[in-house]
Amino acid sequence: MTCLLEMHDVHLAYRLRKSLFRSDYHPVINGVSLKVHQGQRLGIMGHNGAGKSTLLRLMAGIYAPDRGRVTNHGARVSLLSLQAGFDPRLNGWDNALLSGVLMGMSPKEVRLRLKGIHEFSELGDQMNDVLGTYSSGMRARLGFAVALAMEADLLLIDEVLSVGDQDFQEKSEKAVMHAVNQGCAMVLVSHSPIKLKKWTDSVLTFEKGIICPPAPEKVGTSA
Amino acid sequence: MHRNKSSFDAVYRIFQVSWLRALMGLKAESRGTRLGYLWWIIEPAMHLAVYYLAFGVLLKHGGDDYVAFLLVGIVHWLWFSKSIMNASQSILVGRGLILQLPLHTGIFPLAEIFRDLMKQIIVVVILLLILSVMGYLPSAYWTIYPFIFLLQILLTLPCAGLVAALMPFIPDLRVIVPACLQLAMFLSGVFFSGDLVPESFHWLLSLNPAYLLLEAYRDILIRQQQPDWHMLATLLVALLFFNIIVIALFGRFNRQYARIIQE
Repeated sequence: MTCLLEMHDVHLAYRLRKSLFRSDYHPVINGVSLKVHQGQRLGIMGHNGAGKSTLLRLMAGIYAPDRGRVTNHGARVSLLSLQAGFDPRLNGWDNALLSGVLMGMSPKEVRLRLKGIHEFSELGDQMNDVLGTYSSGMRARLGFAVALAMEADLLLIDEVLSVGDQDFQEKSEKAVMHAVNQGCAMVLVSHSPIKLKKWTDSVLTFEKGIICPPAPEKVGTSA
Repeated sequence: MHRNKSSFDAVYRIFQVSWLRALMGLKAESRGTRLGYLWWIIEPAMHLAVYYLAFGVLLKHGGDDYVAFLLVGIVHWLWFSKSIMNASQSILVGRGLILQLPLHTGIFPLAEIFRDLMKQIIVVVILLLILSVMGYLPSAYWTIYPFIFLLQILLTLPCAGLVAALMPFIPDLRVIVPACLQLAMFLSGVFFSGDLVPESFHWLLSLNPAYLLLEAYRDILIRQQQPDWHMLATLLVALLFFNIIVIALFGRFNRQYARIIQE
């Protein structure tokens, strides 16, 4: 089983600037070690403010750890960031192109996928309209369609996928499942145990900046 | 995160993303107004017309070549100062994206520089037309223009990059940079030529890259003479060094921006 991403004793603290020369440190991650394997669906549970988003940003390579290592074994990691780089003054096509390129695809790769994105988003002719005229549900659908078009080896998802109406939600859940069945690994962070149970095959509890030991019998098993 | 890619691919991607961001930015900008793309021509034309009227027609100031002298100075100075102002805020404006995606921070100032570069090309065409109408007809010297233009890009890149890179660390620069730019405008000979400055201060002027570039533009466009090649060659070497330093700076601090912006 190929290991895609490895975290080894990762520490991270945010600095709170108090005055010109004084600052406090607020530790968020206190020595996290974990591995994500190909095809694994890993859930990470934690309360609000536990540092779940920070953990995902470390995995995605957005943050560099203060101490420890985050090793990516050549995997295309995608933090499912909906509507990244969207501009309300551009139409749906341009926004899809821009957002896709920012997420890591080449313009050519995005252009090849535009048709698929258009179909998945169910926007029809409104794809030619400026994004500013879209409802928030429509924006979210387009954002999700673009994010999904990116072929990743590891999908990082912050909180549950609650995009658009019931139908679209089911469709997006199916699409993510499809990607996972194709061998794409997934890390989902959430505070809801029910969602995590439904979506993932192993759940870690993340509290006070460390991964808590319970439920070891399923940790690290494959999908 | 693509760990196995070569650094050439990484640089190529930075340029690709910046370029697309610049194009889309221009497109979005033009959608915001009724005249759209036409503004790229109207705005600089209006600007130049104002200076022409004020100094050429109303004031009849400073000798025969003064209006042309001023227009060449203004057009190229404004490009430099606009690029720096726009780039200076770019990393802070791109905050949301930096926290969402593992992007190279250099993309943000670079996109702004590209954007102003594309607008400048139109401005230059208008300037050259105006100069021709004023009697400064195209000559063989004009073929040197692209080289000096390129030198100016090499000056803008590290200046804008440096300001953009420092801004998240020192937000106070937001106030300092415009003041410095204004001072620099008066020191760069936008409004005066070198012979108005006492001989004993000439060495100071020749340390100012913006002044050297403006004079080179005027040499080829107005005075119809060779620019000071020796000086320009020295400038080229210095600017290449400056570029390398700023690129190294971005390489060093790139991954810290997400944290700094967040904190």
